[in-house]
Amino acid sequence: MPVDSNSSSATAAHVGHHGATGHDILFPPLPYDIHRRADSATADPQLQTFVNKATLSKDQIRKKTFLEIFGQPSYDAMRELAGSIKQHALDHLDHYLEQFVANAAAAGTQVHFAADAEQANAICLEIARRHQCRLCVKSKSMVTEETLLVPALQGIGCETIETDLGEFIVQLDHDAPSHIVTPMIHKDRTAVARAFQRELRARYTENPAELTMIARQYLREKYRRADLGISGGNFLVAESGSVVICTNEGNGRFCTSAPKVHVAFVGIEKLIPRLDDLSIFLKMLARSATGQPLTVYTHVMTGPKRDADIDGPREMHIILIDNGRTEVLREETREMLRCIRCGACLNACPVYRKIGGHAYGAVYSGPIGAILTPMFKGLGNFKDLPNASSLCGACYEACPVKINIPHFLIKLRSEIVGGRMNNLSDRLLMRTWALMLRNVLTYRLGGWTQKIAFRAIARLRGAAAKQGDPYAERGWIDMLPGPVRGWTRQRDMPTPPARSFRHWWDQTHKDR
Amino acid sequence: MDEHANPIRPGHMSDNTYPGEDRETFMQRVRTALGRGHTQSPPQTPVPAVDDHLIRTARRDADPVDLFTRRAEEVGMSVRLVTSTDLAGRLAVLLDELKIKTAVIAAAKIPIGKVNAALAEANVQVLDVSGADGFDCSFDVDAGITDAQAAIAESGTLVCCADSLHGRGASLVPPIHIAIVRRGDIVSDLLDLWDRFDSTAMPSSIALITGPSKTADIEGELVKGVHGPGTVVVLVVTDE
Repeated sequence: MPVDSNSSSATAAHVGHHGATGHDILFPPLPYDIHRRADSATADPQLQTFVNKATLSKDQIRKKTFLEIFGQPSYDAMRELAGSIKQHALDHLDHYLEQFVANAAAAGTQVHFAADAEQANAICLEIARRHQCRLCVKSKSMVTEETLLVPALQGIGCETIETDLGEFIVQLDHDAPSHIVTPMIHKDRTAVARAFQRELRARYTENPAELTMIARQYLREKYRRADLGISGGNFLVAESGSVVICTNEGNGRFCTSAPKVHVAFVGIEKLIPRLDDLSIFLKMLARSATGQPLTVYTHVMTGPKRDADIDGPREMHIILIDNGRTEVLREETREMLRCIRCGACLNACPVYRKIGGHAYGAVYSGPIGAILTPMFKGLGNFKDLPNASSLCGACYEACPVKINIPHFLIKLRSEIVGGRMNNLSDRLLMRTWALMLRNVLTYRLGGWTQKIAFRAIARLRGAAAKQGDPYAERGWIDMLPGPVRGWTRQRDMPTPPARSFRHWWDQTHKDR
Repeated sequence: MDEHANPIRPGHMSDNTYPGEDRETFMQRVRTALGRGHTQSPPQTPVPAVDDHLIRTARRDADPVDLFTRRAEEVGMSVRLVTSTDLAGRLAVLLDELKIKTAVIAAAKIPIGKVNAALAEANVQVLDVSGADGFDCSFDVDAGITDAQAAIAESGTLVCCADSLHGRGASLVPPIHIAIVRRGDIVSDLLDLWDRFDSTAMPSSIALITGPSKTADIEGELVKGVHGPGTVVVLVVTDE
């Protein structure tokens, strides 16, 4: 039963089973209908304020940073270059995977292959069992959300704590992350204060600095005692067999350095060919996400600790994950895998800004989620997502690797129609529309009827013309009836003129 | 990268008693998606070159100390310029200023004698990280004093690598990180960093550190020192 993150029942007592409710949010029943959550999100004033502020400011700072430092033509050229390097890596993923595996193994890393979520978890659970792990600290990883790793580990008695502050809070509050990069933009300080008081027995405070210090203290003790550290991976470097993770908090370095065993969960699409390529990807990643030149910490890991090293994990494992990626790897959709998970498209998207992340009903939300989720989970299960877009193209402009998201949205829409996955009334409406437009007489009749109807409505309901208004003579319609009422809820439309354009043209240009 | 310098070697995989798919089945699925039956090695088309001119933000000949100082301060680190002769003295003053009583060290490039002299002068107790649980020691000290294998001027970044004299914990765990950087180790741009590493002989850990630890997860309000150090002070040795 999906739990709306905004309802107080989301914090109902699920004692000792962190994340149970939270994961329901990202795994609703299928096929998924977006409307309920989207409606409740747009009606929630707090969510609207928070998501709006967070995304708008990040989108603006992204643009400002790139324009100030590089200028628009260079920004575009960088996006083109970054996109082409990722595309090349994907086009030759067989070669780079093999190169990566060999180099990682040469550095002492144990490399595993997981066809799907179940296998990925099974490998990790086996590693945990062999080392009798009781406590695991984890840094942010979308892939582990895909596989539902945390409940699986908890299930074998290994307490698993999210250490990214936003993820930690979300886990504590039995909630789910709502944004790829900043997981709790939908949450306010009061919710955090209550969660800490309830779950950590902390004194009540709503001050963000104090709350952060409470989390820091709690998590430091966990780092000290943890026997297993789990991370994701922002990039895999084929040339050296390295895993690269980028954080601002430092939790990534703790999770990969303190415990004796480190396991990295990484999707195969994260591969890049060379260390040199990190220059462009690192420069673009943080700037696209938050406008920073680099994230505070970039950690390049190549193998477990060497014998002579002072500290570091004794064992390092990498689980290379497919879980639907090889399907997307096919030529027609391959470009989608360029994604470096910067979140820029989420911050640019006017739809995401209104409905927030949970409304997408999946691990990957926003514009990239709208195309990846149907690919991973079945188009029939998520046909609402490609339709939840006005095709404005803001996502494409924001994407540092130039994924043509609008192109894929349209492609998926046409597959929905071609596969007759849209509902009957949609199909009938479109069929009728097409018939009417194809025939000159029905087209003209339709146009004439529409004009008469609007002008009648204007006479009955027309709003007074405004001063200096270009449509002053004709006036405005502020309320359309019936099923089209929604159009005029937030906008007025000008009354159509007495003559259609074609009619006016014929009359004024008859001498030509 | 010359392919022959790094031949693909099979057989160094995880022991196959772990669950998961065998490598060949996994790779076959990848190849099928790419429309071929055998791995194309090397790739038929070359990887696009990283256009130095396009993405470089700091010229190779830029004054490294000046640029590094500005950028490091912009990201919230505090920078002091010292010379090799006054390093020990200035470090002692800093330790005193920050009221540091206990520390861990990770230093090799700066003669350890100078650091030890400063620590003695400021009466700081140093914990030995070379024991069995070197990482754990860092939790109980006031500061970590490290040198940096490199630094990047354009972004104000410290580059700290793990090896037999440098633990990962010193620059991460204590609430204060004091880093000592030599002018000669400051490169202009991130592009210039990778030449310093051999892809076949990488350290187990390279940490690029650009400022104190921070988060703005709670209502977008910036808080420093979440997990990593909240205070980072860099001493730049200008005559080395």
